[in-house]
Amino acid sequence: MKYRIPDNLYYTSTHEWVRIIDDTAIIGITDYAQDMLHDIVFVDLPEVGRDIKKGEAFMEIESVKSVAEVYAPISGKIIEVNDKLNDSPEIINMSPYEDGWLVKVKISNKEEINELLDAPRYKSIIEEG
Amino acid sequence: MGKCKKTPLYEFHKEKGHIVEFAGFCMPLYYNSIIQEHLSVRNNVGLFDVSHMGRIIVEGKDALEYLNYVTANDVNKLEEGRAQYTLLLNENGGIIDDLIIYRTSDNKYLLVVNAGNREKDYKWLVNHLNNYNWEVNIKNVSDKTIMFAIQGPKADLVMENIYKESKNLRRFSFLKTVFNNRELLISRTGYTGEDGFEVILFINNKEEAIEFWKLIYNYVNKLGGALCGLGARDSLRIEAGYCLYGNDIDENTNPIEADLFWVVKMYKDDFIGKAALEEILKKGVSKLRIGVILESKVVPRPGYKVYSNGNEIGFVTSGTYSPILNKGIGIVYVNKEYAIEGKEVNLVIRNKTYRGVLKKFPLYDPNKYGFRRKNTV
Repeated sequence: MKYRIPDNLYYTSTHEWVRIIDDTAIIGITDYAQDMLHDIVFVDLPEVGRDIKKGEAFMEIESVKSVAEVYAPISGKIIEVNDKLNDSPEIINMSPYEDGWLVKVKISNKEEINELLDAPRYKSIIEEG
Repeated sequence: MGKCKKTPLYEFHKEKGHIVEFAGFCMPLYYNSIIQEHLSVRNNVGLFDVSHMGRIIVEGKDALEYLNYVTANDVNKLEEGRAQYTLLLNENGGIIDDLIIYRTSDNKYLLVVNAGNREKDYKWLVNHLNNYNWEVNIKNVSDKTIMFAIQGPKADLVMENIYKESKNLRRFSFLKTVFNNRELLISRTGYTGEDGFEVILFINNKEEAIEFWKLIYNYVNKLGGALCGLGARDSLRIEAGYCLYGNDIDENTNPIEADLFWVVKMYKDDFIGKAALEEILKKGVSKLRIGVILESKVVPRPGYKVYSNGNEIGFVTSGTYSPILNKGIGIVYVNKEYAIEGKEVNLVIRNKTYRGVLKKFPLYDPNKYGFRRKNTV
């Protein structure tokens, strides 16, 4: 497999990842997603304080060749955004799981964590294409 | 990706790059990164396979007279060994294609046309042969030739290894020579805004094309240059302000609104589209092509609308991210009275408003980049 899929994260079928720390969720896009987009040039980060609902398209990532919506993997309130991406969105290409995180969300319904995919399940989705 | 056509370099591209379909051809979109490939051409040198473009030979006793009738520029001014940018127009003054004509000998010309228009142009050219019973022979040699572009401020260092005299070529001049007993044409032309060359080689089999490609690639590599795909080709030509047929110009666009009227020589006796253009000139055009630079890195894409003080004044026909300006840029058509350099405009992109300013091409600083740059590398 050419894509990194860390074991300690949760995933969605729309290629977002989630790191859970207590009642906070850090959200980003996967290595596979950044590779599909290629050459990311612009992110439209949401405002801090905004409530997002699981499944909602809450922000956009744009590359030279296309635009992708990012879907909320979990419901909650946005408490922080990765401002560095405004100037250097290519960080997402270089470090999708670490420096290229998108937003931090205060989780409103912890039950939703159970609906996320684990690494092996996400891996099988990518392999199925 | 189905049944797209392949150039002789397809296996190479597939191994090293990311393939997409463009104008019916399987071509590399990029090898590593569109942005890096773009910067390599602006700062160093890049190598492109552009064999998907069409190549048509027009020859015979009446070739000059015929070409002066079917194209808009003045072929009388085209000397042997020189190339000319021109247009094929229809009777309404609409653009059938934009192309380059090379005068290879007294009665022989090579036309390089857009990939997507290969068959259309050939038919158009043949269909107009009978207008005056011209003694002209037209041959589509697209599949018997390959074409590569070597572009960037160090392109001459690559080309002097291939053929020493290349570096003495003036812009829009070319020379004829041979490579492995095959006819080779080297011209100082390109679609990037940079100094550079395009080479056309007649081949008998694809191995000959691959051998030539690998030779050039080797010299490009030695200089730290890059293989470049269609992604960089697109972002480079948008920065320079060159039209892409089907995006920025088509049969419903005339050369006046496309800002290509400098190509059209109205003093010629007659040519297809002349009468229509005379009428259009009397009435005037309502829109004009110009560039836009956004404040943001957001990418303007075809169809996005352009506003001024809340009024819709135009639309985007091409757009990209400019690695040189670090901003979103585009080619737009706006109402004529707004087509002024420095005019502030807004683009509405997915319900958000982004500010931009209109600018004549090129969109980069021509003292720092492009073939007119003042600094040397």
